[in-house]
Amino acid sequence: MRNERVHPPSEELFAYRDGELGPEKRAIVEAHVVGCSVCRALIDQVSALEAELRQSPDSVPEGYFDRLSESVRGRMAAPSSEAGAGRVAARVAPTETIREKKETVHQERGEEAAARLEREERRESGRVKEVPRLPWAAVIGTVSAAAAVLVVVVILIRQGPYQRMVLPERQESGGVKEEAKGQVQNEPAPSTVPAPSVPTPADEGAKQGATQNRLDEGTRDQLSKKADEVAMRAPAAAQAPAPEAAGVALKDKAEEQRLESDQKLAIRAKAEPQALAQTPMLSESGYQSILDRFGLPALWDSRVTPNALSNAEPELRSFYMSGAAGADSARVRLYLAEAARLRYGPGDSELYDEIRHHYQRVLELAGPDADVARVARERLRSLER
Amino acid sequence: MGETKPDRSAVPDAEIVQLVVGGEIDAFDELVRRTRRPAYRLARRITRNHEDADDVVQDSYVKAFRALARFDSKRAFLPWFLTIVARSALSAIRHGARRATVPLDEPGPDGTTLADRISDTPPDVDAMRRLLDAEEALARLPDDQRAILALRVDGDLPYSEIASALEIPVGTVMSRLARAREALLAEVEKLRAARFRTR
Repeated sequence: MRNERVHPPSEELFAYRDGELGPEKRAIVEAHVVGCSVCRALIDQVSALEAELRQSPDSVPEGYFDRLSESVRGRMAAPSSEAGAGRVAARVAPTETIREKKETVHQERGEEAAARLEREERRESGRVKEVPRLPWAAVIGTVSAAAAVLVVVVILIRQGPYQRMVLPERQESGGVKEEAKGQVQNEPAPSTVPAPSVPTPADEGAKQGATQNRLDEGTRDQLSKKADEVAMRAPAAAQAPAPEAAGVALKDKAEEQRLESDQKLAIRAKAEPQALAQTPMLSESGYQSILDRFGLPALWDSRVTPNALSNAEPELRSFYMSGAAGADSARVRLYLAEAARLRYGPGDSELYDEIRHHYQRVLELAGPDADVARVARERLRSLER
Repeated sequence: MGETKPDRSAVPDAEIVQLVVGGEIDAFDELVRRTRRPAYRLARRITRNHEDADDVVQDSYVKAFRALARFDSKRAFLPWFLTIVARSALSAIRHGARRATVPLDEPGPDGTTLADRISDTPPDVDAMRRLLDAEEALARLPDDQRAILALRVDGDLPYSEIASALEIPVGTVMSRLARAREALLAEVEKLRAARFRTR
C-alpha cells in the first residue's frame, strides 16, 4: 500500500502520467517518480491495463459500421428537390428530416424516448433552457422503489418484535438463544455486500449490473447442485432435533408463512437463480434475520460457540439451498463448513473431504468479499495441518 | 444522381464541418466514417450492450449534425463528438433504456463471445486471459467510474473534454479518474487471485 504522506496523491500521479499537470507540479511529481519504484510500478500497471483495454477487439462484424453510416445518412438525407437549394435549404432539410424522424420515433418508441431526444438536442444546440417536463416513468419508478423499500422495512421491523415474542419459548427449551448471545462478544454486523478494498460509490443499479456480469450459467448450476449435495450430506441427527434446539416455533403461523416463502424462493431459485442473486435486499434481510435470531456475527469467527452454530446450521442450510443467499452465499457456506467441522474427528476422512470442499466452495463464491476469502483460506490451512 | 462522391479522406475536420454547414450534407459522411468506430466503442463501454450503443451513436450523430452550425471548427471534431456520445450513453443508462447488459461469456451480435474474438489476436493464452480480466473488471465498475475510464481509454480525451462531457470540474475528473483506476486495479487483482485459488 502506498503511504500517501510519502508519495504524491494518486490523482496527481495519474495526471502526471496523462500529461495533465501544470509545469510546477509536474516537476515535483516527476522528481519523486524517478526515484520511487512503487509509484512507477503503479503507473506501469495502469498503463498496461489500459493498453489491454484499447486492444480489445470490436464485438460487431465489419459490415456493421458501413450499415451505421447508411443509417445515419438516411437520417441526414434531404429530399433531392431541396438538396440543391443552397445553404438555407440545407439547414431546413435536416430539420424537416429530423422532425419526420421524431414522428417515427413517437410511433415506434413512445413519446418518452422522443421527448428525451428533443430535450437533449436542445441542450446540445445551446438553445433556451428546457422547460422541465415531468418524467412520469421515472416518477412512477421512484415511487414503486420507495414503496418496495417501505415494505421491506416493515417486514424487518415486524421480525424484530416477532423475535422478542419467540424468545421466551426458546428459553423454555433450554435457554439456547440467551447462552449463544451471551457468549458471542461482538455485535452482529449488518449483512451487506462487503465494501470493496478501494472506495467506490454505492450504486444499487451498478451492483446489480456487476453481479449480473459476474454470474454465468455454469456458476448458477454449480450453486444449485452443490446446495443439493450439502443437504443430502447433512446428518439426520442434526436435522431432526434442529427445530426444538433452535427454538423455532414451527407451528406459529408467521413462521409457517416464512417457511412457505422460503419454499417459494427455492422454487423460484431453480427457475431464476440469477434474478434472486441480484436481489441483495432479499439476501440481506434473510441472512441478517438468521444471524440475529442465533446471535451470530456476519462473518464466522472463533468466538462463535458450538451450541449457537449447531442450532443455526439447519436454517442456514435451508437458506443456502433456497438460493436466496445471493451475495451472502460465501458467508453462509463458511458457517456450514464450520458446523461440519464441529463433528469432525481425526480419521474421519469422508467428513474431512466434505469440510475441505466447503472451504474451497467458499473461496469460489467469495468474489469481492476479501474478508470471507481470508477466513476460509486460514481455516482450510488449519484443517490441512 | 449516381455521381461518385468526392474523396474527402485527406480533408481536415474543420473544412469538412464548413462544407456541411455550407450545404454539402454528403460531407457529413466523412465525419461519420472517421468517428464511428471510437464512438461505438465508447457507447458500448458505457451502455454495455449493442442495441443501446447503436441507438446512442445514431442519436449522437443527429444531435451533432443539428449542433454543427454552432460548433467551433478550430476545435477537433472527434473529442467534441465523443462528449455528445458520452452524455447520450449516460443519459440512456440513467433512464433505464434497455439495461439488458450482455455477460462477457455470451455471444455478441456477431455470434462470437469476447473470448472467441480475443483468441484470434494475441499470441498466447496469458495475453488472452489478461485481456478478459481487464474487460471483466471494467464491466464490474459502477457506471460513473466505467464511463470516465471509457472516456479516457477509448475516447483518449484530455481532462478538459472529459470535464465538459460529464459536466464536472477538471479537479473532479482527476480524482474520479484516479478512483476508477484504483478500483479497476483492485477488481483485476481479485479476479486473478480467485483464479489462482480455484486451480
